[in-house]
Amino acid sequence: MIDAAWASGAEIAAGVRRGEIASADVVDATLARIAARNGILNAFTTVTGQRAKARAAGGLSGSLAGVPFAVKNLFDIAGVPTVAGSKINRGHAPPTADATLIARMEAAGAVLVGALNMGEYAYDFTGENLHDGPSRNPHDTSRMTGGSSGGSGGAVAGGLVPIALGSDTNGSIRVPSSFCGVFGLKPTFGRLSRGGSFPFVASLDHLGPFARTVTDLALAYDTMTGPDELDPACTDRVDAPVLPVLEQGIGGLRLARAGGYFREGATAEVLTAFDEAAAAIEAVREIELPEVVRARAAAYVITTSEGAALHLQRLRTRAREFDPDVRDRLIAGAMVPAPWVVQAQKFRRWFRGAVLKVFEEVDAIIAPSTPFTAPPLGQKTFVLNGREVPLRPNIGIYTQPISFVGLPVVAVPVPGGSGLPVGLQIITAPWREDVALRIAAEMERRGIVRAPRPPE
Amino acid sequence: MSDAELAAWMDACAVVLGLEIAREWRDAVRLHLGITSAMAEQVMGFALPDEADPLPVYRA
Repeated sequence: MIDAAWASGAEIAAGVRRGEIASADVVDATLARIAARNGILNAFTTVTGQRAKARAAGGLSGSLAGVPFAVKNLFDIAGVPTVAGSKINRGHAPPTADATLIARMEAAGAVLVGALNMGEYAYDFTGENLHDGPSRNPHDTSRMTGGSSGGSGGAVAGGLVPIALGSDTNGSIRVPSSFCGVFGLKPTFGRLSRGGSFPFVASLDHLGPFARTVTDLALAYDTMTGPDELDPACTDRVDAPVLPVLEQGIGGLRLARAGGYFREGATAEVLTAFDEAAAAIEAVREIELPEVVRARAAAYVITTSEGAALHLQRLRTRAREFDPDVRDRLIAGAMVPAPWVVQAQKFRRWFRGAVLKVFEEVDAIIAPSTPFTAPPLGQKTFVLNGREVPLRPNIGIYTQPISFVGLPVVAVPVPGGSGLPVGLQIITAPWREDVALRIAAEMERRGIVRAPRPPE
Repeated sequence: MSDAELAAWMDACAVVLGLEIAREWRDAVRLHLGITSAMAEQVMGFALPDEADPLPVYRA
């Protein structure tokens, strides 16, 4: 029998296809793991056990045959209200169909086992949730998972599922990947369909997978690509699968490391881990992205105003049912003058052009994902260079400017000096997920990046 | 912007948008307006030509 806590999706699928493992047994073992560990990790908000058992009983085939997975609770699951981390949405009628990406995962043989905790309406970087309680970091359960896809990071790092899906508007896949020490893929904006998911910021929302190996990330990604009429931003372009190129190595790639802004505000522990990993793949050239402070500011303005527009009616009628931290930011967001938002959108096009110029000279840029490792739950400030600064506004400083122009990023875990994982971003040009995944795969082969198994 | 200016902005918009802001929420909303206006100052401080359209359908 496989190691139910730590087997990769690829190992499970291979075993199921060869007839060595029954998918029903995999589902039973996964449900037992969730039952044993979720009381501590609080990653799952709904376990779809009956559905999973019924599906696995029939025998499964495909690239993800019998692979259990779970989704951030903003994905539609037929028959389960799409709560998106909120109290208000619990009263919504349950959807009659699964989200596009769930349907594609299951078409490849994967088995949905539940929905995962998240920050309310995805406006969060901590993984804390007022209504469901915080998701807890498997490496130290007194610490944050990061958010907003906190349950996704925690479920994969804690060995509850090999693959989870999440969303990333400003960093919500890359931040929990960093704090929890797992791999995450935020694909190019428009690459993976958002059909059947609860939105946050239409201009910036992305969906993507979490996993403990690069192969699993690639398997899930290849399974989920393709056009979808349900998402107006979803691309029609079809690129070759990435799984076959993971073995190609990084020879001939022009690798750089991010400097300037991406070194400011980081702890010594993060900088050391970043420098060592970048040096190990000879990412010597230091790149300073132009106007990156403004890019982050523009992403902030678009996020708060589009998010507020989405929730305006609920803010009018049910404001007391929001998490106050989310509510107060959204109320302010509703008051943003239109010219600011228009200018931010125009600036996004300018910044896109500037970034594309950089990618004429390099193929990938390595940068930290977060300025620090997972903070303790409830912490409001952190000490940087002897100075106390607010925590929440600083968590996403390195992720926000990148998603602003929709660049693909593979988030990879490296060991930190304190024993907690450190996350790095491998950033590539639009539509070059293949390059980012090749680099991540090479770093994994060389032992530079690895999802560490937490103690239990 | 001063606290009084931020409060005036908040109160005017609350009327326009039909939002009720409880007394105990006011400080936090005003704080977030201050942060947002500082962010917007960055954005508005960048000179773009009249021809600089956004991407009507955003492409990465």
